[in-house]
Amino acid sequence: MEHTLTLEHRDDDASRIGMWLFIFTELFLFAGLFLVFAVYRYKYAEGFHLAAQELNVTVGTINSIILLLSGMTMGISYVTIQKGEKKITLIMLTITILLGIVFLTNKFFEWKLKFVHGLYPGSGELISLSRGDVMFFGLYFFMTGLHALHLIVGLILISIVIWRVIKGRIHATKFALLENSGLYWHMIDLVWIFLFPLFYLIN
Amino acid sequence: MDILIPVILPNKLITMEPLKKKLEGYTLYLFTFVGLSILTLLAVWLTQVRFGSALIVGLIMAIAAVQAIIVLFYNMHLKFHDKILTIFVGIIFSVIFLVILVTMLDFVNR
Repeated sequence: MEHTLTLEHRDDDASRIGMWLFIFTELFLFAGLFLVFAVYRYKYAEGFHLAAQELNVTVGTINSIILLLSGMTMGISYVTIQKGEKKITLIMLTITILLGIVFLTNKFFEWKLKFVHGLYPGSGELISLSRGDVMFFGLYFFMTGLHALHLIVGLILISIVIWRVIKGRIHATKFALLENSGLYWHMIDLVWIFLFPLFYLIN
Repeated sequence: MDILIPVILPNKLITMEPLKKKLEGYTLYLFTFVGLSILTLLAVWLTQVRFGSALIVGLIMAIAAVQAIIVLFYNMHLKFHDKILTIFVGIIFSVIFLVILVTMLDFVNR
């Protein structure tokens, strides 16, 4: 008698490498922006120095810790899914999402304060300041905005992962989507690790 | 898509490859978080210290580089996967570093 078994065709190693290749392209994107920042910081050192003092280091530090904490909860969910602990996995992923939302909320209020002070690209007040100030805040809004956009994409990805864990489509032997979403989330961490000192600390 | 495959095929196709070294529960991520947080606070503290400006910038960026290495190796599991992935990541970061270095050298020496 011929035995057959229905198997799902999967290659998790290829999936992981594919995710890494995508992350490389993202790193090149941000690296280009870091290069622009470095060049203009050198060119307008005085303007960048003064403009950076407008940013709140305490808020930036709190946001850094929040993002690092979300990295920890994301990592724990990767361990718990492999142990078959579905409930803890869901709790950790939910906490990751909540921390991401807290980060974005802080960022929203930080941006709002800059808008209230007229320090946004195109505002009459900013144009009246030095070229260095204009460049600094242009890059600040673009780079932190792009980072926030990536974070929102990360939140959507994790939401999909939560849904699939609930439905039992991600489990102890099939967790590639969770792993790759985790890689993406940590890439967001990685970018912030450089954004934070460049904008908030080096002044 | 479901495909009918004879049972003699290895199970490798349907289970995820285990990591080379088993992750030790939650503590790995807890220690990583604590380490990264301490480094963040250290960088913030350095901005309050009156050293030379260039030295401070160098130290803060060095701390960021150490944090990046920790995230790559532990949070992103480079330490536990094939060496080839580590080599790829090393090449990418080296290229990024060289591009920034060469551009800055060219810009400064104009």
